[in-house]
Amino acid sequence: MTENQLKIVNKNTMFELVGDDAELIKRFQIEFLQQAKQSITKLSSAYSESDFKLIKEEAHFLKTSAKAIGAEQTADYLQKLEDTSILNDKNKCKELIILINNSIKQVYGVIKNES
Amino acid sequence: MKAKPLPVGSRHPKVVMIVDSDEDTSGAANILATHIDEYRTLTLDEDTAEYLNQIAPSVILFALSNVEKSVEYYTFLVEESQLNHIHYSIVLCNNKESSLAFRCCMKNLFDNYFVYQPLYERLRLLMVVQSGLTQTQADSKIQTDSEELSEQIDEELSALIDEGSRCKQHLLKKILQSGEDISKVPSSDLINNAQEINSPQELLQNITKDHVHPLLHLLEEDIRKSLDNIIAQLVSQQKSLKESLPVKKQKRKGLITHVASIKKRDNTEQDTNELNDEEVLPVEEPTVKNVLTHSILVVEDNKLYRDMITNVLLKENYHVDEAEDGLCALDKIKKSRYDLILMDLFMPNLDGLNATKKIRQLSEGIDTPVIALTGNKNKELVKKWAHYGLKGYIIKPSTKNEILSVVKKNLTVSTEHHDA
Repeated sequence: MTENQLKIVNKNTMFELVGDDAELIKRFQIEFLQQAKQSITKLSSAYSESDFKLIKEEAHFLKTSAKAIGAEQTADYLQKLEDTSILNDKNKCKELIILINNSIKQVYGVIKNES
Repeated sequence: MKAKPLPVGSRHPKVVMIVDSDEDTSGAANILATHIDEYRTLTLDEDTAEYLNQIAPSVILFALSNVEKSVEYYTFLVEESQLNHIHYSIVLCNNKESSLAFRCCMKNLFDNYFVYQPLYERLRLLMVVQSGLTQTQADSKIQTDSEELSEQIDEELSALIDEGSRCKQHLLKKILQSGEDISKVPSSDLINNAQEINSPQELLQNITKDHVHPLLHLLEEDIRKSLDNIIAQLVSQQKSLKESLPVKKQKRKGLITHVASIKKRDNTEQDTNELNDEEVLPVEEPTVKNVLTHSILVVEDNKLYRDMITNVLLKENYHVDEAEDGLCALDKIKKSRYDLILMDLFMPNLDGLNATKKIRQLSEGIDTPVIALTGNKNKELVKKWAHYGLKGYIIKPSTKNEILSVVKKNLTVSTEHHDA
């Protein structure tokens, strides 16, 4: 799948995982946003400390949730951040953390519009 | 005496932090200055030791540029008798030096340590300092009424915390009161009571009669009620299933009942496979639907994903237990028996592969299937996992059908293996 085909939130992902329970889906989406907020803080802090191991771990952690709720674009950036952190490329990491932050805001927008 | 800048601090501080670089420690210093009135940051110079001697702070945080320097300076203070008062010492370190700091504490040099680079656990820093203030019985305390500290706690939870705290204080008070009451009983009374019992056998008989028998009776009653409930639930489940589904009779041992699945195979199963040294096999449509509970342990550090998997399994009437990492999983496996384990591979503390190895060592011949939860599709890695004792894998995130296919297939194989 190319970058352009990735969805901000693919509703089918959650539907196929937890079914059509709208309330449950909403609960998981909100939990994701809370988790994402904490992860962005940790990623920023790890970036300023140049702690690439922590960046990798946190990106991997949030990627699991992003994939699970169908935040495909966010998950893709997180995968790229995970790969970049292994190369200790600080500039690229910064770029990706900003992209991740923006994509999470977009996820928030989609979820907010649904409710 | 020199006045110490950064940030503004008390003139008679109960809590001090000694630093040699303002820049690195400003985050921690700001937190402490915000929440503790009697706090001061001291930049290390030739007057610091004497100043400490004069103000006798209750809690001293050593945040020099590395742990070695903090150890050297603290040792110097102690040797030079500049800290001749009850105090609580905390060494601050970066995450790479945390094991060194831990070792210093285990050797009773410092009372505690805190990782301030990176500064993740802001509230934990305050908790460590509060612990020091409590232990040194200082009258200073952390201000807990700030917006930051009360963030994201709703009224109900806040009330629950207050209630819990009240209960604990009440319990501690009762324990203390009991201790005082016992000490008030004249020793002659205790001797008289002891003399009424002629022998250890008689003492044991009395204990058994007065305490053990009533407890056993209660336990038996409790077990009987639980079993009654379980049996009633099972009968009800069986009745409803018989009414709703065409039952395909199969001869099975034990209590497991199998019902033909009415679901069609999903086309998206290519990501969900069984481990095999040969080509990865397509997953067969499971022909077994769980009626009586199989017990499944879900080991996943990401709570959100763990909740999702758990939710899928609970809806299928599986009994589900959860663990947040490999160590926690091992602990649970020692205490309980599971029919299947779903294991994330990339976790803190003890990762999935090593946890599986340890499970195999623990299980002493019991071959509980372990299924990996992973985002990695590399087939070479998949083969390697098989050698670690993993029976299959589920690509994250899978669909409900994919997850249940792998689960049911492995439970079926496991059941047949046990029946054979």
